[in-house]
Amino acid sequence: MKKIKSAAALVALALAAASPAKAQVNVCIWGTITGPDALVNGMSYGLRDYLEFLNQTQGGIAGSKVNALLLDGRYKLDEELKIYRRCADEEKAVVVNGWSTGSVQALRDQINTDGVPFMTQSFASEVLDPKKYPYIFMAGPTYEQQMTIAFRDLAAKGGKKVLIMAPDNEYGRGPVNVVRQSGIIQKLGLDLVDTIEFRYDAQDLTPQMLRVKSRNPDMVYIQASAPQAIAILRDAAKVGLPAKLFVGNLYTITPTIPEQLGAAAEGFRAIQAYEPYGAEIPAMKQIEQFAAKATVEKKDIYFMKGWMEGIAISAAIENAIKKNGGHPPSDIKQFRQSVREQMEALTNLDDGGITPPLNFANHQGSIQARIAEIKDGKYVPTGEWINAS
Amino acid sequence: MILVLQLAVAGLATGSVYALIAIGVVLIYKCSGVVNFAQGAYAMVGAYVSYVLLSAGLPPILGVIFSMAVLAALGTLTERLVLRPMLKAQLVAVMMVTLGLLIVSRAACLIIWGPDQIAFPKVFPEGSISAAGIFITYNYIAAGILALVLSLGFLAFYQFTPIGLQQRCAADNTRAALAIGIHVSNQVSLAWAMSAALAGLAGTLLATLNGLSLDLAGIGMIAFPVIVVGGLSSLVGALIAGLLLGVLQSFTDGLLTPALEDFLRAHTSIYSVGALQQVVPYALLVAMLLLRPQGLFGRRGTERV
Repeated sequence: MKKIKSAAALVALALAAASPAKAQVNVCIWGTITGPDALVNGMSYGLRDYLEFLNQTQGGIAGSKVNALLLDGRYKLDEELKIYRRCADEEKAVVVNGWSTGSVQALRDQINTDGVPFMTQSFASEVLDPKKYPYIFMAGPTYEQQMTIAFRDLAAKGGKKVLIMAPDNEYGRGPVNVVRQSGIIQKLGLDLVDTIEFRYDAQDLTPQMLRVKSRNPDMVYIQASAPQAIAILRDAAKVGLPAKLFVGNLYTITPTIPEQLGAAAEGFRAIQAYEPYGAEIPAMKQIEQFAAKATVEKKDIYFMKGWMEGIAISAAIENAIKKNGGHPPSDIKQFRQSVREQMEALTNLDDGGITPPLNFANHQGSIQARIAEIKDGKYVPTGEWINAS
Repeated sequence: MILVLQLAVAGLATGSVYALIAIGVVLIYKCSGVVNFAQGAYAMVGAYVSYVLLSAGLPPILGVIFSMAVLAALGTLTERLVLRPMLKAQLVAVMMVTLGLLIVSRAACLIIWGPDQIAFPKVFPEGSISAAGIFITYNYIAAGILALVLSLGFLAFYQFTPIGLQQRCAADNTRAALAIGIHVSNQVSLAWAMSAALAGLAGTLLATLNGLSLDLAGIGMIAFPVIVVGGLSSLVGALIAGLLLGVLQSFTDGLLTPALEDFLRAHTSIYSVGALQQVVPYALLVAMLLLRPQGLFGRRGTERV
């Protein structure tokens, strides 16, 4: 009996040795896990969790386990640049998901040189150019397209005067300058009465709100994220400016805003590009399945965005593996190149209803968006999805 | 004119909170010669402690008082456990330790409460008043008045009570204070306790105005231009400089920046001057160090760091 057991163990060992283990696929994600815009970091968790979900339910991507490494860039440029190098060189990530506009702008040429497929959380048009920056992808309309949606809405409703508020960094300043210089505001028959910059981590914006009040605009567009929108709306209320005057980009659509501000947030509008957490869509079933076994850190729209990015990235990786005969290419450069090509080739990709079907030929996925307004403490869409181009 | 008045009111409200923080820094400096970089940490911890107490259902007044008591205990512990063993260490080393305390406190709060901004429970009544065209919310008024009254009350305590007198003796001349029977180390502990309690209150007030987040720790850095302008050893100077800085920042944001930008946009290709407001405290600091190093109310011979 002992001999039979030993022989069986040897056979099992030999079989295990004979079937080569598939290489692990590394995906590197950095977000603001701690830092001034941590409120929207659900997208980093969403991407990580989708890849983990694939590990749990399908054994990874095309049979290869995914190692999703989540790092904290703390919204500090030097930290983000260090993390990128770590992801590209040490971790040998096949795809990198990075955070701030400033870092992606600083890295865009390096990303080309390294040939790393890069999904950016920034929507700045300055990093979107499939020819010039063929490795950089984003998952939605650019900041400039988002602003245009809001301005079109204002023009359609007969408004005339628009004011833009933005933080004094690349995230704020860059897109505002692009829109301002494009002439789109004038083409829509609007007048840009002022642009106000403020510190990204500003605690008190009351004087800026008094400046807004003195300009008497019909709309104030916020090119900033949820924490700054909270500060703006809170201080706007201090000087008697109603929330309905303000429209924010797609990083200002979080339940935290009505939760923290209550009535002072009623009427605030934001650009919506994804279905919210809890929406009745197929993707939610997957998320609930995942949530049954694991903790979902942030149950918000940004988690949905990250989940959607995970669907797109994993589809590109899967196609690259399939193209290589079912195994990840052993040469990381070749693997990255193939993933980039497959990413660009994604057409009508179903992301479970988080967005309309995704097409990445333009490196944006979906460019549809709509405006949502806070009514009774909840974001309610004010219209249908519209094409942001 | 209404805009100027409204900016002044907003600046005074913020400035009174700066003053509370700066008074705490001056207190410790006077007593021990230490410039406490952890003052912002006390403000942040105080706000989080208040948040916990108020969220637990304590009435606002009790919650804030308990929070100040907790911070006073924390200040005493800091002095007894961290600073006192460093009595003979170089001043720079002691200041670095206070900087370390700031970093550790921030990390501790991050672990406990996470990185996200938290809605602070209502301490003051909701609503606003509008008088002579000036619109201001009750919580702004209440925070400003409370900070101002406490600052003045504290100055009075320091000036007119026996303990205040002992504090001043210990601060002015340690040996002479010992010679007349004042327990100097107890006075130093008391200064740390009062300083931390004041910072805790300032943090709570700021959280009622601006929400609660780890960024509150950064408020301590504003205190340094304030105390340099006011005079490192002057409590009155800290109060006046705090108010001055708050108003100056408010005017910079509301008047100077728009005027400058309007001019630049009309005559140059420069479109924005950025957040000029954050430059003001430090520009003022440099100007003061160049023109009147002892500060507005400091005495010549005050030790500078």
